[in-house]
Amino acid sequence: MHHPLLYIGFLFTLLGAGLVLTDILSVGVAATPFSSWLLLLTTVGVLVVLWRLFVRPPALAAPVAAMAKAAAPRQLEIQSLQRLVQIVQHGQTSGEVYSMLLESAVQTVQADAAWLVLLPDHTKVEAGKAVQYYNISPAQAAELQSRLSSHTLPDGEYITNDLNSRLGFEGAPQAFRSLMQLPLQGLQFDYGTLYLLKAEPNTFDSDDLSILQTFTSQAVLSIENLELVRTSLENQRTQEELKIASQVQDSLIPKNLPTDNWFEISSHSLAAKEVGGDFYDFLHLPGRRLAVIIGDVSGKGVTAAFHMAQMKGIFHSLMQENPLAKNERDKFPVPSRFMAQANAALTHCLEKSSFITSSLYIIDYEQGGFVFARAGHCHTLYYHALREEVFYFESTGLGLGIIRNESYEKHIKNQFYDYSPGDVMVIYTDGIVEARGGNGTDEYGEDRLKLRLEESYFQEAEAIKSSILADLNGFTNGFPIHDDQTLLVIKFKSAQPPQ
Amino acid sequence: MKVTAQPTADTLTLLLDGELDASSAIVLDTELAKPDILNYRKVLVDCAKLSYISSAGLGVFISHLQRFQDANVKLVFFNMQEKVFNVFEILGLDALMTIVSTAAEAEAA
Repeated sequence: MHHPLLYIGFLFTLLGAGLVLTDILSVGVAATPFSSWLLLLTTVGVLVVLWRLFVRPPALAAPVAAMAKAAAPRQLEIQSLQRLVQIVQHGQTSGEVYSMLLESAVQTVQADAAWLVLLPDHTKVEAGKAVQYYNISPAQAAELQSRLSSHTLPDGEYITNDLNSRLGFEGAPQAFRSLMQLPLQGLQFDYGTLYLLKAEPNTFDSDDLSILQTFTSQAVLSIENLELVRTSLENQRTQEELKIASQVQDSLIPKNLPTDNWFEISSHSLAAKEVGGDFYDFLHLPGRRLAVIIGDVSGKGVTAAFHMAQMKGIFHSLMQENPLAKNERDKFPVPSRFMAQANAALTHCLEKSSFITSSLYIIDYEQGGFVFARAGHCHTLYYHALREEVFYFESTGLGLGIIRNESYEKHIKNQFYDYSPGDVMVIYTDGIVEARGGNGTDEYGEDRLKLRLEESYFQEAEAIKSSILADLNGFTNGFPIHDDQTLLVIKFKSAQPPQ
Repeated sequence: MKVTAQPTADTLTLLLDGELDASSAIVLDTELAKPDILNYRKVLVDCAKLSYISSAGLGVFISHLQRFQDANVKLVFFNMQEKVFNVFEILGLDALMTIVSTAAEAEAA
């Protein structure tokens, strides 16, 4: 792009030359004052053209030189930024980012010495690498730092033009006179400070500052990205672990329900989180007997899941045949005895604020009856076929782990009941009756559950369960479940169905 | 969940307001765990505004039950809503803890 004066000069030259030529061709006419003016104009035009073409004006020369000088650091700056970005992309460590930062900063501003102090809290650097040095001894850096910290710079100021005149340096002439100190500030934390030194005073300018501020913020961004990647990997691992826990727990819940021709069982269980504290189990006992247990560990999640597994172990250990028993009935513990023993076993396994509620039923087909004990667990819902009546069993009994001594036995008792074919027993945990719906405070409740059984008792166990669950889901209407849910439906049948 | 403590000479009354679940249980536990609470003769728990109690909430009372008994401090609940009382009753706690209907009965207990 040429300077506009050049074109104006050309224009004047052409115009002047043309007119002078016309003048000369007009023979015999003496030079008029008009043509003298034209001659002058032409000369000025020629001079301007020559000047613009051959003499480079000094005003233009300076910026071009500056640009040429700045090209090298800008190149460096871009390269360094690219390297910083690459370090993050290749999943390298925060330690490498810090070394890279120090190295690039020194190169870019051509510092004579530098050091980088990292705060141990958030930088996760090893203890020995909390300070990194370039061309300065640790002792020298430490001495400078203690002088610097005696009088800190106001916020937003990073450059000291001459250390010899800075507060805190009185009477201590410095080998390095210029200092730039830059904090490494993240969104939430400070990561440390970068110190750059030059021997001569007044050598850092605002360009150096802005380049290095880009550097430090890019480095902090890199560190924070690395941290994000690390946490997300960690979360992924935790998720995997939970998935395994969930599978293990799933394997603790019986998949093959006991079958016989005198009863039907249907079951449902759903944990509020990946793992839960509800459990149920079955065990065939000699004779035509079946032990059914249900339980609910207080709390939710992993802690509850561990205790749930413990309780399953206790159930299978205690429900072993006692070879020393004097008679048939004493070979297996009756439910109240079982609860007392389970309570004693849990005394040392359960933290003080945890407890377990449980009910154990031993159903005896030969006798046509069952015996059960309720240790603080939800009341059993029952349909009595002969009386055509649905009711809750009213019985007392204290949860496990609440009293941790012998006196527990006084708080648990057995209840005997004779059943008839067609009777239905609904066993559940509080996650069912305390499920929330509507405005988020209404609970499903015992009454609604009872109503449901009154309308579905004549169906098979599986259909009764489905009808209760459908009603429950309609009630909660997508409201997230906040407690584990377990539901068992047992229907008694005649051993030989009528032909 | 809000816990307000009202001390008198030999009685401490705790007013519970809101839902006592796993997250709010910590607030109550902090209150009950204070060592000088054992200097009172009675701790009365006003449950008038307690709208819900979860197993974690019950766990807080259970975990301090023995400590209170050993120090001879009487723990009395009153003004309990029916729904909350049912939870205590199902777990069998009504046989272990003193639950009365009015403040006057609680003071007389």
